[in-house]
Amino acid sequence: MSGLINSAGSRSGVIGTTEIDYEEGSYTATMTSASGSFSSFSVNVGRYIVIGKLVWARVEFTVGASGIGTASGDIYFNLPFAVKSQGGSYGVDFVATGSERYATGTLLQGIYLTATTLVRIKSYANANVGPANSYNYVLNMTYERS
Amino acid sequence: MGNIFNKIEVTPDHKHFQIRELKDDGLWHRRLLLCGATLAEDEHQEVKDKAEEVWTDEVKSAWATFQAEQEAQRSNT
Repeated sequence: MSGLINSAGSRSGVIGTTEIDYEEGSYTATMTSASGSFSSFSVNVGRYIVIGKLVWARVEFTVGASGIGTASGDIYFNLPFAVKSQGGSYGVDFVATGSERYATGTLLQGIYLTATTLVRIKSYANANVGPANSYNYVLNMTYERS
Repeated sequence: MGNIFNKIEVTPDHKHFQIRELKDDGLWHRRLLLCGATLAEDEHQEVKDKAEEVWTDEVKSAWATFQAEQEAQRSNT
């Protein structure tokens, strides 16, 4: 179903067939830090597509010119759906990819924290990427929902 | 809450809420509330009722314990 009332959605109309559970839309995306908090950032994109248990989501944040506030340490993005529990401290079966586009061009990895609704953002080399003023973070995520 | 409440899904493990709403433009919007989250005053009544029903002290305590264990593991890696 598309969310549009009276739209065709994904229903086949064929009785007796298995229907694919499809949905797309926006979500309330937030960015937090391990300690302290940002004073300002904008959410440029927060959208998702879900097909059965498979979730694809894209999120983009821009920290304000003086938006870092008291934020420090690791950065976390939230998810539109909780990620499936996998045991251990990280959801290592799922790793998202993205980049910090404005200042450094650093490739990002998003590590899903198992049984939670968060991804922890690191550089491709497992280093911290901010938080810093005017940084722009983009992440594309694909994972199995809880 | 400008959007129209559509449904609430409770995750099986830690009872997080996955809320689906319908926006004015006819498209879906999702919000996710962690177990035990503080609810806004203007939160949908359905969400408030579900929180009252599901987020018991036992459930919230289990979630807090799980988070602490996870954090400890991360600190050691």
